[in-house]
Amino acid sequence: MAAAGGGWPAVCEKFRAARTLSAVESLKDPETEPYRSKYSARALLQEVKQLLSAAEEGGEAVVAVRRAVLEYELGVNHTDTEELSAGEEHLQRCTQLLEPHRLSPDCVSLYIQAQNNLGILWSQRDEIETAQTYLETAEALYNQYMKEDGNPPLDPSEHFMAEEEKLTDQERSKRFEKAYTHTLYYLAQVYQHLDMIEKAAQYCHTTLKRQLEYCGYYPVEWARNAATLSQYYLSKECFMEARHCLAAASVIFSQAGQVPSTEDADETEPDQQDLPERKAEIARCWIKYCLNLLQSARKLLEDNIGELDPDRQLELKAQRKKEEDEKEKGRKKAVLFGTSDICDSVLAMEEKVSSIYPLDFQEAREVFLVGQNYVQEAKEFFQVDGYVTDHIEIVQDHSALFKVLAFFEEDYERRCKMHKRRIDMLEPIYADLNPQYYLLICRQLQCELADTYYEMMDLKVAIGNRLEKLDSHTVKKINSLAQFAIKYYELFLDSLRNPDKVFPEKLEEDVLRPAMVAKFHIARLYGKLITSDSKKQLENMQTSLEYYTFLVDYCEKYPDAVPAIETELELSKEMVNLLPASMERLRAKVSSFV
Amino acid sequence: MDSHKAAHTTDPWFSGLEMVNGLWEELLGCKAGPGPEDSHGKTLLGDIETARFTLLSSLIRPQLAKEKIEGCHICTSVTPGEPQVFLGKDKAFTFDYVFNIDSQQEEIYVQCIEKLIEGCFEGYNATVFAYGQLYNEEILDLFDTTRDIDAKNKKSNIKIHEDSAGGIYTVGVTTRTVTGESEMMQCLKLGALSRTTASTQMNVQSSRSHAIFTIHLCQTRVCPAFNADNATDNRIISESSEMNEYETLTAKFHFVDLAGSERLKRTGATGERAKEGISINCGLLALGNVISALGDKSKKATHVPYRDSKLTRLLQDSLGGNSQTLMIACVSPSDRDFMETLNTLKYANRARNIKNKVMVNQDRASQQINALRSEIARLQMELMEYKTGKRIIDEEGVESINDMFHENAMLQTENNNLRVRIKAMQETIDALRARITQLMSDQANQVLARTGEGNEEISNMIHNYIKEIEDL
Repeated sequence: MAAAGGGWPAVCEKFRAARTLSAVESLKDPETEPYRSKYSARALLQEVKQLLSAAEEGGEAVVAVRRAVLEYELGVNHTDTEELSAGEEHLQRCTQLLEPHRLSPDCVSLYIQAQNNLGILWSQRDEIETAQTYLETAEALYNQYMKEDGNPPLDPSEHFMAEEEKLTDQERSKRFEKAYTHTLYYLAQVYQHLDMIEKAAQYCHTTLKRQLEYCGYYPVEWARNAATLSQYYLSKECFMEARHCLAAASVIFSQAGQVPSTEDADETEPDQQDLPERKAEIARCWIKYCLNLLQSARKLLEDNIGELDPDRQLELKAQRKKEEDEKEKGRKKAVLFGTSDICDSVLAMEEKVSSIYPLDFQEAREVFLVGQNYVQEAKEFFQVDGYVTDHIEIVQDHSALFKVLAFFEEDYERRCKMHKRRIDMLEPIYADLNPQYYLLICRQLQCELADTYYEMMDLKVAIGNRLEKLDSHTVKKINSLAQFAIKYYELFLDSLRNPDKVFPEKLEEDVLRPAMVAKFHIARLYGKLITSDSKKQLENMQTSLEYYTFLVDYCEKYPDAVPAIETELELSKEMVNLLPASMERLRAKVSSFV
Repeated sequence: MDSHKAAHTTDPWFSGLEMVNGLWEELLGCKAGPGPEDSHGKTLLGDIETARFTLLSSLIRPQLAKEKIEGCHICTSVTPGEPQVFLGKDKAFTFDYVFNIDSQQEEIYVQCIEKLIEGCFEGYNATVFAYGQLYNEEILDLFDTTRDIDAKNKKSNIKIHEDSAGGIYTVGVTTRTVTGESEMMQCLKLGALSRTTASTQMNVQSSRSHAIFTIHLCQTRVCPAFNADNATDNRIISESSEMNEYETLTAKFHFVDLAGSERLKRTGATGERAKEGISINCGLLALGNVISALGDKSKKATHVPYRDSKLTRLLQDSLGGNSQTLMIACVSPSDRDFMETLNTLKYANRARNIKNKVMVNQDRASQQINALRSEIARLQMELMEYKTGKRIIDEEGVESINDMFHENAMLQTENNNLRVRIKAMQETIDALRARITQLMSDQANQVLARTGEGNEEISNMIHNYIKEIEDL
């Protein structure tokens, strides 16, 4: 204790003051002197360094570690104040000092933190690969230490503490694990930058898992993150993982406002007031889960014209029995969240909806119903009045749920009723919407309504074909459905007109295909209208021809449009060739009457 | 700014240029930050994905006195006559417009802004963005000077409200009615001042915020002689007693100054939050941003709770559709800022390619196309039948199969039968002929055998002769 200026306790005091300046005081620095506290902290650290070289207390190893701690603090300080090169030097020196002892409980935590900071530093220089090397070194060291020793190591700050102040094993472990959690989190970002998305997702997942294990989370934020991660898994069609994330999100969310289980237990979670909104957001993620699961199942089951293929169905059912989710169990282990009590609740939550592809109507209906419940929950918060866009998105999802459920329904009449439900939910919101403010949404709705009417008409035609003779009721129904479909396609096309009500010469790329498909569908619908009046029929054929001709002419004029509507164009060309002859004959028939 | 005065336009209502001046000043103090590829998930790109930038321009500001003093070199150049900017020697970027260091305000106004303003007078919304990077999303009312400074951690009570008929508006924000240019300029200055004080007093939070200056334009004018069906949804026609038709036209013009990371640096916001702007986020606070960036944003199949920002919601009626959007990417010419400039230009270039959401769902079309295919096949068959005359339409207009066609068919069948018979007869003839040859040869052989010693040679010769004769 022979060091100048008050001995070891004074050194420790200076060190502590430097850390406070850096972490706490610096936040209050004025805009004009943003780094004031950081610079003061640096000066203090330099002083401590001076004192340390004068001190002779402790063995060589102890002094080396203390020096390493100072180099580390100085390195971070320089990095924070945008002096990267100096920061790098200090951090490298820290690493060198620790290298021989990096696996000892005295050094391992500091070494990992130094590597973390070198990773951050190199990422600031846009050299992500270098950052990756440092962070992966930290990761490997953690694993090696846990394998070989595993006892809670010292926190770097303890090297400047009196014996009696030293931390408990529990606290040490917490800080060590936190440093490692940061390593994983930085790695997640590094992988993302390197476009290794799968790995990035895996590290995000692990980060979430560790937050839960070490109680370092805000329930609402954690739940939102887990729900968001589930959406990544959805895009990869990993439904088991997606469901697990969502179930965990729901369970953890229900903790919100109960126990402050955060690592910084002094403050409760900031955005408590948004709880209903957050809850509704999670519900929306669930809706997407149900929808994606059903849609993916449809993709597996449909034949080349989009109908359920019974052979595929049998095949998949047999396959499912064989597999017996052996593989899933292995995968499950890797992603499982939480300690046993949380885990039990999560598993119970998962029971409510399947994560395997529904293969028949009954199974599909169960998933659909869960999705529909979440639709109601989400709509409770996202009401039209106040949240028009969100509300409509949810209704559109609801409509999509019905649409995919209809695929599984064999009975045409009932299928038709499901589409009617879609019309019933979409039409009123469309009617209320002001296109000046919600043009894009209006267009989406116009197209969806038109498609749905079209689909219903097709179904009615199919039902009619099964009858001996088309009765007038069915004919009327078919015609009115076709008229509605035409109406909405026309509304969509009208929305593309310029302020002078002129349809654009050349369509913008983003509306090209929708507009062409609308024209094509209208052409077809006019061809489908049933009438006993030949004149009327001739008129309809003429209109149909005009729409087909539009497609053909447009593509002749703008050949770059062709790839977007290849099939439609090919068919339109055929129709343009065939229709005039048919009309000629019809005309012959009509004229012979006169 | 010398161009300030010279740039006044004749527009009595307001000068768009003044607005640009405001932006310009902001931009001078805050050149655009690094592109989103270097930051976290909450990027501008993700936030205004529904926008399609019909106009995109790049603006190179003059060097600041400070930069000149510090000996910074200019590292940008503009290709003459082309909207193209070079950064260094080999990095070229093309925009709709490029304005170099020596560009005057008026140029920018005439080329970019004027048509947006004209559109506004016709009832179409417009938005001008000055590019920066997105951070905090607290909404503050810059007209509200009574703000409680101590309440910096409290949330402001301004809410964005969407209404299906009335559009998007903010609840709790001061709206001032202005009747002329000077009044509006006063408002803008007031707002800018309030923003400055807000950023010093409220520390980190607001210094990283965007500023939106929205002009609601409302016109009532005598209806031009439109046809009845010419009335659009945004024209509310009312008839006065004199039978003169008036229409009310509304439009919004947003000026958006997006917060830049430069400001973050200048203010030296430190600690955990500050590092969110840097390539690797230090605090776990931004984990959500990282996760939300994992997914494919172009897909609408998933819901990402982070994605829809308040800014997007506030501006959605002015993004996409018939409204015009202009994005100004302002960059520094100094070599010191090379990387940031590069990132800004890269970002702006990407913004150019932002597409509207896909609207038409095509997954059922296969069936419909299939149905049409069979219809075409049927029509082709029919056409063929007419061409061969199988089908005709008689005087009463009744479609029927032609009598001639029947007759023809009958004759053809008969013909075929006859052909078969001829073939059969031919075969009989051939067979008989062979038989005759054989018999004749046998007969000759017998004659020879009787007359001579049955000379084999002669017999063969005679056989051949006979065959030859037959063939002939």
